[in-house]
Amino acid sequence: MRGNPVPPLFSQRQPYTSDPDVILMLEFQKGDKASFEKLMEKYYKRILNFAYRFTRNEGTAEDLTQEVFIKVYYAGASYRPQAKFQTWLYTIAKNTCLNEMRRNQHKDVSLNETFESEESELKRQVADEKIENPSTGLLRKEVATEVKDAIHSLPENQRTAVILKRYENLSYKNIAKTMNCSVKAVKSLLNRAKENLKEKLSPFIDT
Amino acid sequence: MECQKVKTLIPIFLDHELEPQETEAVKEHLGNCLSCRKELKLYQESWALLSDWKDLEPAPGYVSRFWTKLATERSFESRILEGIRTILAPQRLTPALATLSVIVFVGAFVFKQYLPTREAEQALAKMAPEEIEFVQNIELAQHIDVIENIDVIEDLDILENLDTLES
Repeated sequence: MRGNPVPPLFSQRQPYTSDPDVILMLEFQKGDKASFEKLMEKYYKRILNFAYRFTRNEGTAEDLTQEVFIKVYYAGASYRPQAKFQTWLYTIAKNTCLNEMRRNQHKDVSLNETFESEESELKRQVADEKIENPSTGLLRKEVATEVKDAIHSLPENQRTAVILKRYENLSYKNIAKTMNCSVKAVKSLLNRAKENLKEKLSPFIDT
Repeated sequence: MECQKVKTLIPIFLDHELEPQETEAVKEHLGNCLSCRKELKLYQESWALLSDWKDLEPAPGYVSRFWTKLATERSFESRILEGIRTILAPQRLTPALATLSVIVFVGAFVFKQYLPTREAEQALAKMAPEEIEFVQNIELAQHIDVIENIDVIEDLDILENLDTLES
């Protein structure tokens, strides 16, 4: 009949099936738990660090990461690839972290922000930097604390954009999809975030 | 391009996310402006400092922890679903619905009976005392149509007792 569009090919209906992570998720949907574990092994550390930098709490970050993957697990039955798997996963992580922050808003800031024991930091941080002398090491630790303070002081949407850009190396386009906003909005967020960070961290910059 | 404009574009320029013509304009300006080059350096170095926040390593056994947590959650979820299924089972649902239907029917019937009585009471409130006394002696007091036709009924009463009156 005139006017009826030709149905798109399967690959056009599901444009993200070239994404290997989407393929793994679709295999999991068919019952292959090993595919789910592969996804988990690939993304667990990244989601953990996203949650850690967002909440600044190691224990909370572990719990939130588990929660994210539980949501992914339950979403398997009805999963339809509408975006790259990574984008979809970070969207879940962002929303999970935001919900956690809302739940904890009534708690004291000190309780919410802090627990990072020195011992666990030394054991678990990647120690790829060589500390030449104790005073340099102390200075780096102070700077690291200042960096954490600076990022944590950003409004949530600026913080999200900074973490996704600086630590997860997402493009502006993928950040926009994750945050459900326009690329123009991402540019504005990162512009303001970088300006805030420059102001806060300028005392630690050699000029 | 002016310094004020360039300085607002520097953060995005550093991420290589400007439009091509904007990128060229910023590069050209930076080649000739020391102030903007200093601003660029501040942005670069503050951004570089973020590397000082090192990655966290996952605690060992996170995959097995996940499956254990999932099994616990599913157990809880399964119990809730089972409870709901039990409540909605046909052998329980049918008698419950039947009971509910009876309650609704009886309630509607009672309310229907109550409503005319209420209207009759309201009509009585508007009547003169002698009319009220007359109505109270009639067995048909609960019927609103009787009350509204009280004059006719009074005439009928006179006709019924005509023999007595004549004598």
